Amino acid sequence: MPSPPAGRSPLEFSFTPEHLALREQVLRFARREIVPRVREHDLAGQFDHRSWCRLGEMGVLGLNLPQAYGGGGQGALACVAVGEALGEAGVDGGLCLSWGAHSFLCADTILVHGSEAQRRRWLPRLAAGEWIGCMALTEPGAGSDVASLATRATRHGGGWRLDGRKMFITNGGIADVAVVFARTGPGPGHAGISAFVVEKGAPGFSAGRALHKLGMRSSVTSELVLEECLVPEDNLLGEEGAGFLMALQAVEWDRSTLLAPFLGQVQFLLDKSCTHARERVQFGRPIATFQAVKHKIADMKILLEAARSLVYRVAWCKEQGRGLNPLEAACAKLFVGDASLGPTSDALVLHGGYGYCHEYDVERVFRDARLAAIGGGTSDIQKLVISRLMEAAGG
Amino acid sequence: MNFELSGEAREAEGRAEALLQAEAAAVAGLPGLDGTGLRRLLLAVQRALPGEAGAEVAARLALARASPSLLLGVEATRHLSVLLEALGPRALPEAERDALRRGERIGAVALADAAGAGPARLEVDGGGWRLTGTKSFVTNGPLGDWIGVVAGSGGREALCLVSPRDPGVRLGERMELMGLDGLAVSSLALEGAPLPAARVLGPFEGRPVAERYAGEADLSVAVAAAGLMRSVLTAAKGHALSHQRDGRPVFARQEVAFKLAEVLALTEAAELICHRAAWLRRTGDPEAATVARCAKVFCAEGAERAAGACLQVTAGEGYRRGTATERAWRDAKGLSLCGTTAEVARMAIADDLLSRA
Repeated sequence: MPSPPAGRSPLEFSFTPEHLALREQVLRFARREIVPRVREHDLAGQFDHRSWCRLGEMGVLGLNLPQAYGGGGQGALACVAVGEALGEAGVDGGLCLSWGAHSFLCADTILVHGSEAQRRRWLPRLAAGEWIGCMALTEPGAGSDVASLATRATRHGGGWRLDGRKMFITNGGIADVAVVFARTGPGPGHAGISAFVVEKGAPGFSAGRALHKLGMRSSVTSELVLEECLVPEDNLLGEEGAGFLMALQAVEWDRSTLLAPFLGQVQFLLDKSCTHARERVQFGRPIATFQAVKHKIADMKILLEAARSLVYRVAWCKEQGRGLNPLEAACAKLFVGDASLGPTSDALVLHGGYGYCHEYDVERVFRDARLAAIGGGTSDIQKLVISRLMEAAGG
Repeated sequence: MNFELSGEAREAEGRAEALLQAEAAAVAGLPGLDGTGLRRLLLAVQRALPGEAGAEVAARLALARASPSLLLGVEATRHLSVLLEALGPRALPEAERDALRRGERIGAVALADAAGAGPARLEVDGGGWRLTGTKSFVTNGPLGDWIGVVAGSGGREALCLVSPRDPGVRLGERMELMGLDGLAVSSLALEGAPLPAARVLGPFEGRPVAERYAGEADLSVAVAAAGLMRSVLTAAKGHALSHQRDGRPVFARQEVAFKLAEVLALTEAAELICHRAAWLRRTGDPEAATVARCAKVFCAEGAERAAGACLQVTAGEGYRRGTATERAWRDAKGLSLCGTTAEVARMAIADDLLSRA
C-alpha cells in the first residue's frame, strides 16, 4: 500500500476539476438528449438504441478504455462521476445498467485480461458503441454460487466447444460480444473456470427469451444458449482456468461505478421531492412546511451522504491499482443496496398519488432501485463476504 | 480524492492510542472516577493532542473507541477554544488563552437553557454587563476553568466568559446520567453575575455563536458515535468468535455473523461521513453545516442500531452491568440526545435543501 505524500491533508473527498467538468457535461447532455426518451422505453421495456448511440458519440461507452483503443482513458473515479451524473439527470437505471455491463463487465475484462490482438479486435468497436458487450457468468443453477457453474468448454479441433445456458444476462439478447465463463477443468469449485469471448453469430450461440422485469426495463436481460457453440482458440481470454479471478475483478466495477447511478438517482429523487414539496399546496400551505415531509427529505439527504463516500472509496482504491478490495466493495454494495430502498420509498410517498403514476418518474426509480440489493450479488451475499472476511481477520 | 490517512493524521491517531494505553486503568475506571481523577485524565488527553492534532478525526475516533464520554469532555474544551478564536481571542488574557489552546485548562460551553427558565439574558450594567439565566446540561460544567455562556441581549446573541469562581455563578452538582458515565455534566445558574466588558463577545446579529457551536458539537457527537460503533462491534465480534454453542463459535451462524456484517458496513459509512464532514468544514464548503448535521443524525442513530444488534449478539453476557455492550447501549441513547437532536437536525437539513433554488 503506497504511503501518501508527507503533508497531505487527511482524507480528501473532492473530484478533480476535470472530473467535475466531465460530470457537468454529461449531466447537461443526458438531460437534453436522453431523458426525454426514457419514460417511453421504460414503459415499453425496450432498449433505446438511439440513446445508446448518443452515449457512444459522447464517449461514455468507452470512457474507461485507453485512448489507443478509441476510449476516453479515464479511471474509476471519472466513471463514478459520470454514473452519478447519468442518475442525477434522470436517465433510467436500465440504460445505466446496460452501460455498466458493456463497459465494465465486458470491455474492461477484455482490456485487463486480453492479449493485444484481442484488444485490437474488440475494444475499438465496443468503445464507440458500434458493438454492444455483455458478460455471461450467471446460470440457472449458479448465481452467487459461481463454484457450481456448469457450462462446459471442451477442446474441439483447434478451438473450443461450449455447452450450457446462461441466465439474467444484461444486454444478452442484443450483445455483439459476450465474455462467457465456462468450466474447462474438473468441477465443482473455483478452479478450472475460464473466460471466452463469443461473438454474435457464432455457431451454436443464441439468445433465449428476454425476461420481463420489475425495473431496469429498458435494459435487455436474457437467457443465453450455448449448444455445441464453437469458438476459435484465439477467443480464450487470459490463462486457461483463471476465470474466477477475472469474474471477481469485473464484479469490483459493479461495487463502484455500477453503484454510482444509484447515488445519482437518489439525488434525482431528492431534487424532485424538494420541487414537489415546494409546489404542492395542501391545507392552504406548501407541503414543504410540514415536519413529516421535511423529515423524509432530510432522510434522503442523510443516506445519500452516508453512501457516497463508501462508493467513492472503492473507486479510489481501484484507481490506485490496489487490486481487489473485497471488504470495502462488499460494504459499499450492502449499504447502497439496502440504503437506496428507504429514500426511493420516501420519495414515492412524498409525491402521493402522483408518485404512483408513470409520468412522475418517481415510481420508475423506486422499481429500478430494487436491483441494487439483488444484482451483482444480493445483500445476503455481501453479508456472507463481509462476515467471512471478519472471521478471517480474527478477534 | 484520497482515502489514505495523511502522516499527520496517523501521527495524531498514534499519540491518542499511546496515551490511551498509558491511561488504560483510568479509562477503564471512568464511570467511577471522581472530579479530580476525571480532570487529570481530561488534561492529560488535551495536552497530548492540542490544536490541530486534537481536531484530527482519526485521533478523535481513537478516543471515542476507548470512551465516547472522554472524547466529548475533551471536545467541550476545544469547542470553547474554537469559539474564542473565531469570535474574540482577546476575551481572555493571553496566558489563559494559550493555556486553553495547549489543553492546560478545561473549557465548557453552556448553550441550552433550562426548561421553564427562559433564555439567558445579558444586560448592560454601568460600564459592564450582568448575566442572568439557568443553563442545563453543561458538559465539563463541574470541571471547567472557563465556561462560555450563550446569552441573548436585545434580540442579539453574545458569548459570555465566566469562571466558576465568579460572583453570581453557581454550578449544580454533577448529574447522574443513564449513560456516558465518564462525562461530567451539571446545570449552571447565573444570578445576575457581573461581567467586565472584556469577557463579553458580541452581541452579534443573528445566531453566530449557537450556529458555530452546533456545527462543532454535531461533528463531535458524530465522531463519538462512530467510535462507539467500532468498539461495540469489536466487543461483539470477539464474543461471537470465542463463545461456543453446539461445538462451534456462534459467529458460524448466519443470524449472528450477518448482524455483525451489517454493523460493520454501518460503521464504515459512519467513519467516512465523519471524515467527509470534517473535510467540508476545513475547506469552507457551503454544505459543511448540513453534512455535519447529516453525520450527527446518521452516526447517532447508527450507534443505537449497532449497540442494539451487538447486545443481541452477546446476549446475557453483554447484558451484565459494566460490559462493553451494556455501556454502549446506554451511551448510544445519550449520543442521540445530545448536540442537536435528530428531529431538530432533520428540520434544519430539510430547510437548507428546500431553500435552494
